[in-house]
Amino acid sequence: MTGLTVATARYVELIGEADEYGAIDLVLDMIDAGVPAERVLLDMIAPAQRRVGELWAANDWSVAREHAATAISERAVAAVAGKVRVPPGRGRVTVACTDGEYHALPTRLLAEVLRLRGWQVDFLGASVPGPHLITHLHQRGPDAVALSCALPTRLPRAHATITACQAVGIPVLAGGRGFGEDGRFARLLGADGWAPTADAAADHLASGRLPHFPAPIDALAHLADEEYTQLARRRADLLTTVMGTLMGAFPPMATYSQQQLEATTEDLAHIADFLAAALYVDDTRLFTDFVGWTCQVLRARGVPAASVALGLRVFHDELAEFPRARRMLAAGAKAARTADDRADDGAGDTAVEGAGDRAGDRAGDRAGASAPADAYSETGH
Amino acid sequence: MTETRPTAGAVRPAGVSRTGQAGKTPPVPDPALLHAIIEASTEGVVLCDADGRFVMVNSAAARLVPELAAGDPPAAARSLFDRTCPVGETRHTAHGDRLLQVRRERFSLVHHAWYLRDVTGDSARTDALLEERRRNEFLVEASRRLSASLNTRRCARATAELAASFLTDAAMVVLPPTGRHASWLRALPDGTLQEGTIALGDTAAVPGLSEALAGFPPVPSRWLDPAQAPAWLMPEGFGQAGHLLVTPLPGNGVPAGALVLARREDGPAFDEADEILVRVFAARAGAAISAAVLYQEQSATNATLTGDLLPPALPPVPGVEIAGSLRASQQTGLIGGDFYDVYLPDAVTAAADPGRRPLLTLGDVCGKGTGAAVLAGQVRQCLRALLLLEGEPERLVPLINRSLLASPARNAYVTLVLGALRPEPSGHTQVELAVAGHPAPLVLRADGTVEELASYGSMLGVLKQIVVTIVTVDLAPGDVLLLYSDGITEAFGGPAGREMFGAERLKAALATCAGMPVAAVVERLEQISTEWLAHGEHDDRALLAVQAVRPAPRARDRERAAR
Amino acid sequence: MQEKTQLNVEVVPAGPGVTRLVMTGDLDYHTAGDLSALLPGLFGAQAGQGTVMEADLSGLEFIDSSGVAALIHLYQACEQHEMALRIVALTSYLRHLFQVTALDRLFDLPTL
Repeated sequence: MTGLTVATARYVELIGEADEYGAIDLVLDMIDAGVPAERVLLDMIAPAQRRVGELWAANDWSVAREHAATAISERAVAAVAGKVRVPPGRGRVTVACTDGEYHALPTRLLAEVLRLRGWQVDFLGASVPGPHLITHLHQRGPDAVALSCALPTRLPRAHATITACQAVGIPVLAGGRGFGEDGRFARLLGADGWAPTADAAADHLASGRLPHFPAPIDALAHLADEEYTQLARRRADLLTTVMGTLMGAFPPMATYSQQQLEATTEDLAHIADFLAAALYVDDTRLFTDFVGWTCQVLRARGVPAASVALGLRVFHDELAEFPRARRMLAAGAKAARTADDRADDGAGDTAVEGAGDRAGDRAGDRAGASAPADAYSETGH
Repeated sequence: MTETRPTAGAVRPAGVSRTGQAGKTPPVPDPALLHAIIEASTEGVVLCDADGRFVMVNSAAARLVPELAAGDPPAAARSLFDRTCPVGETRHTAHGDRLLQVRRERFSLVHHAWYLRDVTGDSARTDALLEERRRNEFLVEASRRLSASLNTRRCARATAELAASFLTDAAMVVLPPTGRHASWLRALPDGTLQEGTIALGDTAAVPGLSEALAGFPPVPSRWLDPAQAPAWLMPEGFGQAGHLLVTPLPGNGVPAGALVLARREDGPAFDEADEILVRVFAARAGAAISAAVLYQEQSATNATLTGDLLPPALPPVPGVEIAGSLRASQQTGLIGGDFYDVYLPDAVTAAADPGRRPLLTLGDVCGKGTGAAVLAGQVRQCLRALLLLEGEPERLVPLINRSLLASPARNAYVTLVLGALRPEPSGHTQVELAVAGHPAPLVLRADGTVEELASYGSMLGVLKQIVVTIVTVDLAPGDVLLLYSDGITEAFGGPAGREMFGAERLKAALATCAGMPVAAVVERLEQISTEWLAHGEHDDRALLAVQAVRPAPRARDRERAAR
Repeated sequence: MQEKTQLNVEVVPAGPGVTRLVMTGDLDYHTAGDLSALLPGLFGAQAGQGTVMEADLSGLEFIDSSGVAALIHLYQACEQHEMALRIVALTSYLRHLFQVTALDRLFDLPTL
């Protein structure tokens, strides 16, 4: 294990320097030295990618560096796959990311692990629209679908996909952090199984615990209040209103550049999307975890959590007829305050100025579309 | 019933002293009256004394248990009159070919009576009802599972599993033969699933199978000799089949295979009710399988026809890395009017013209969906053919235009970018570009600067006379040339709804990609674009990016490249 | 969700020998057919040598490749009926689009 740990540290360095050839040589050398391919994938490349997420969250690595490193890991996985061939001796599995889900690497790792264990695998890649997946299922008729969802904001679409797969009689094994660290959303949304890691997923499939034919599940009773539906429908209007209110409440925003304004809108959009997801699965912790994580990421960039609390308050006031959403927003604001108290022990920046700095910072490194929410799943939240 | 209860004293005077209240009670009915009362009951009544001796037996009881006429309970009827049976409890006991309902009542310390009722008919009706309900539930479940999939294997699997769970000890589906083989799936009640293929000739060895596969109506199970079944028909360890039922799966006019059911020697034979149920089930399974077969055939044909319209795998081009992404507008379709391709000179062309350069193109034909995809495929094919004769973008574009003008297709209008790549030993790559009515390509420099190439050219397929300007761009190692379709910039969405993504946002997004490998650049831009759309309706979207790279430095990489 | 797009085409007589089409809304994949369907009815008494078809495109909010194709059909139909097509007003986005596709050589655009 220590050999692998050292190699992993070296691997992180190499992908951080965008040294594709060095990284691939290292991976292939490990396999030549007798390390099983599955261990190289799961004990070297996977932890290295988690480390990449942490380095981004801590603001040590730029978005570009993170993406470059991930692209190299994709190729390293391909190199391992090309090197080690296993004749298929088990059933057939389709591996796919939820629609809108771009974290293909963990899913790709699962696909390769299953291949190494003798499954016949169809890997459909990132962001697979539901209808594409269903067409594929009719054409290939796999024994199971392994569906990954790294971001909780994709849970409603994951739910639609799970239901559609089950409607064509194919059981779904759910995985990825989006389903909750304990898999509670996988159960809630009626997945036939859940596994926290790639090797656990492979074990689950091998154990034969998935039903041969999935049973139909009940509707989610808490959706009857229509808060999720209404929020999803009014998302655009809501964001426009909240943005307007925020500008009134926070005068420095008047001087924001177009890019800063767009970055702020994106941040608000993330809040709305995580709130919608929390409403969908009726789980306040989903929302407060996101708020806590956002505060942590922003703090690493010198921004106090009070700016997040300010945004949450505006949402809270705006969503007068959404009691469930308001409870979640209140809990989120509390989480943000807690995060700020902790931060205040160290540095003592003020909230309002911080918010301005923050947008500048975001515009500076141009986090682009959804960098924070995007990395949410990679740093263990 | 209580009215017919005889008082103990009335039956046996010995008991009177115990209950002896003759002075207060009404006159005790005499035994004849008592007998008449008991006799009037349609239930069988057997009155016994403390020792279990029969005191009185009505004729209903004698009809139900003829042995009673003899007096004391005969051995054969002893189980009926089990005195350990708690008082008041109702039991069902088989007697001969009857099912009797038996109840014991106590009337004093000495007397008790048995009440008997024939429930053979009730029970048969209940069993039949239950059985009917079970069969219906089975057929409902079968319909649910069979209608789910359009995949042949899944339907065959569901058929075998359903049959094994309800009908038999081993169920095998033999699918319609393709060529000289037939695929089969076998399920056992414990959930085991096995699959394989058999040679068509071997099916003749199974009694009734060839006929079933040919669609002949099923023959009764009793006509089939299980001893003739070949060993491969049964799962390992199953032993000799005792009963065999082979049923055709009638599809929509075409046989959809056959269902072979086997029960063990010690199991029940397939009776007529079983055979009827299996036939109904087989009809449903056959319909599902034949629909699946039809779907599979059509989608295979579709895949063949549309294969050339899908984005191609990009060949390795020395000196550059290329990555592309294509998302069709229609969610269910993978094809659309946007296209890209990369062409390497073939061996003959390369030998005849050593200066021939690899060529790439990205374009957009008018419209959406299948019609647009077919035209896009024609343009790619036309370009491939033209490349046998001509390699210069400047001359290729007018040729494509003429070809489009001659096309019978309405709306054969196309915009495209055509680029010829010339990698240099320094690691730089020169790209000569012709832009025909298409959004201007962008260049991302290693330092994050984004340039828009000045370009001007006609949309193709409209005018006989066109203008095309040629621009040349020098890509230093790490620089990225990005070609894109207007589906990217004209995507409506954004956080606040119906806003166009626009060229400026695309440039800003591209600027954040400095230092990334080209595959990451394309993936990131596609992601940003998709998130901008936020599930709104969208046009086809295409991205193709080329990055100049230094030659691979290590031996291992050459080894890798050679693999 | 985006509302279904719509195209409105108004035919206004604009003097002897001149027909004017005022288009508003979206001219795209979904609505291009509406414009094409209108064409046969446009060339009545007004058509013929020396007559003019004017198009006011300043009210078009969106146009895609199918919309461009519909305008090309309009041009070709005018040519067939010996009418001149003149675009009398358009948005800066459309002008840019016509320039990129070199259709500014085909359509008679108003000078800036």
